[in-house]
Amino acid sequence: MTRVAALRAPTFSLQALWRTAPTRRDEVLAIVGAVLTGGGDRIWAASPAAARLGIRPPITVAQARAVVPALTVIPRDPVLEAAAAEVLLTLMQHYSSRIERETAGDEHWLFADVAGLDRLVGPPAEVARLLLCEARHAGLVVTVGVARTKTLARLAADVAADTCIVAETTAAEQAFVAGLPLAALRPEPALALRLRRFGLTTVADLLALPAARVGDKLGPSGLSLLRRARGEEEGGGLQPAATPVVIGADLSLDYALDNLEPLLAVLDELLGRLLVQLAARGYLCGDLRLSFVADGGERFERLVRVSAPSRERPALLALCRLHLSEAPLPAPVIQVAVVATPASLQPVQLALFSAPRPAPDKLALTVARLQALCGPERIGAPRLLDTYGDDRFTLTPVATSTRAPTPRGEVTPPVTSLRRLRPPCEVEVLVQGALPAAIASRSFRGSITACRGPFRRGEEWWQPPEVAGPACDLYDVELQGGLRLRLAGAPDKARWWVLGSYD
Amino acid sequence: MAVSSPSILAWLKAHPALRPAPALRAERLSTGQRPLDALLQGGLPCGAITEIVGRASSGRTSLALGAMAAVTAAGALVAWIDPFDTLDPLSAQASGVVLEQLLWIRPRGADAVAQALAATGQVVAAGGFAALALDVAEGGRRAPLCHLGTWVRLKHRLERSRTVLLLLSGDARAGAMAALRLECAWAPEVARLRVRVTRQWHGTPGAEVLLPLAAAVD
Repeated sequence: MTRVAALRAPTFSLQALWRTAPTRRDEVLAIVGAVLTGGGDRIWAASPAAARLGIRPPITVAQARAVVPALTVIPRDPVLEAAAAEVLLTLMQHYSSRIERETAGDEHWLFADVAGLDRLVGPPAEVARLLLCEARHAGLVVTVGVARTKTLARLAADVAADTCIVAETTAAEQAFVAGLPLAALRPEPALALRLRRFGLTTVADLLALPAARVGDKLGPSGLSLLRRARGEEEGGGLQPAATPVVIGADLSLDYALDNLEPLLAVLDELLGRLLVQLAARGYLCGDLRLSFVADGGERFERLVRVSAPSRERPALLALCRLHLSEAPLPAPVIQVAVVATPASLQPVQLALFSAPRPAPDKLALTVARLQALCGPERIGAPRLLDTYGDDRFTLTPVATSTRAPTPRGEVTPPVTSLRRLRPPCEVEVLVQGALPAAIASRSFRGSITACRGPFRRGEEWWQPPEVAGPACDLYDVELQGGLRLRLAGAPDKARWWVLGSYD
Repeated sequence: MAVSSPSILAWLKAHPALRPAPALRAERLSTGQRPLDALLQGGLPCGAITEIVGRASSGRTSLALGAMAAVTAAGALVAWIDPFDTLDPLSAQASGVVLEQLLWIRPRGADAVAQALAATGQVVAAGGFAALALDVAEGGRRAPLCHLGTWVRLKHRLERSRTVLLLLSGDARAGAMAALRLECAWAPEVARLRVRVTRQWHGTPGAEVLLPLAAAVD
């Protein structure tokens, strides 16, 4: 048995505004499109006080001002509306994970699958009551309908004063629908006019007609209206979408902060709030997006990479500190917001007979701590890049899954390894007979007793010279004291570098 | 029984009462080189500090990477803490290290060595890493790496985590806290890597082995 709850938030743009500014509830104000461009803008929503004075959407601002000269006109604030929508979504997520969101004009709708909550929460009436109370507590006025199908739940929420429950029996559903006026089905204006001309005023009148005749007389839109009147699902019923989880926290300050330490204290507080939200949903904290508003209104964005998801506050704060001390904010800030990217930890099956490894969460925590210590771009498993370039690699997350032991056949001797100098050290080289004979620099000095090379290296040798970049000649040399080096020389032998020593 | 003074040390070393009991002998991790494993009674001691010392171009890094290769081939995780940013991933791969299993930590800045020591403590405390290399070979003889107390704490943590700590340096840095010290030198007369045991808790120091060294790869 399916059971769908519909939550309707009417005049959503106004409610989103009132939620943050309750004192404006009684003002004579109207809301226009996102940007106020002039008198030609159309009114999107009007407050009850403005509506009483005759302001109705979608008249223009100029027309509205002609009626009420003192009308306050403000543009829609998408940030406020998104925040209010997020609040409603969070409320709904307490009862269901299958949620569909819909926006129709200035109405915000949420539909959720609330089947099977009888033992956990209570009967449908209790679910509806709780949703209504929680929304009111959050400063939003909504109506809630619960029924067997999404169409019926929508109708119930649409006609309800606060909550409306449609019992899950055919007779109850028919009785509920039959008593509604036809306008409750929201027919298109042209269709509504035709129905009125036919003398049809209630849903019961429409249901009394044979379906074939309705199709003949009213066309596809009439049949669609008839299906809605019967409570049949349209468009596949409930279509729950994967809602992007946005977990954030922000703080407005009384005075601007121009120092890193007090800013970190603010970030610490915000991170604490974020981590509570993440823990409640079973997530770890991935990348952090920091937004700052300067005293003069300028905005700054910072992205703090967290390659090993963690829920450890000191480690995340240390990453923020590292990032902000490397790239300080150019101006004192008065608003701080942090948005976390929720990350899940990949479960890993460790094997009984394989080599012991740290648990993935413990490894992630260790890597996060190490990143906070050394910087996120300095930790990881090296991966060689598929190129002929010298010292080309990238760092990737270390493997968390278990790996079967590699059979190693016969024992191989150690391989002579290079110890890199990063960056390479420029040296002066004496060349005799096209080969280096001696080198001199602050770190390396002496005559060369053995030399192998040159080995020409060009990163993209198949490209034309202007694209391929400079090539170089590599030499392996041994100095008189036994020190073995890798030398790189420009093809014209004008400049030389020590790339590293063999050890 | 009269014992002549030059042979007192040899007599003491050979005395059964002064040999560690088998139960006290540490668990070992193979170095990947059979002659060296045989010399070290199975390999590198787990849960202890092993120093690999030697001059530049003496083969310290090659020996350490060979040991890391053996550990990663067994499916275990290893870490390489590199405050001087000298590790060459190509050489590591050529030595047989499974790079996916290698956590490379590259501290930076003026306090890179201090960061490296802190990172060493954290990796050891995390547990689950079979081996860990702390490469301070470029540090020279300038100053003590850290206070003795730090080595003592690290030693106790290692004993709990059973991790092998390889300390690559120019000379002995861990002092009495090192369970094993291997001194590397290149023997040009035989073109071999000479590895000499200069300190060993559970065994007799002084033994040495010559290992062939394969050519570097491009």
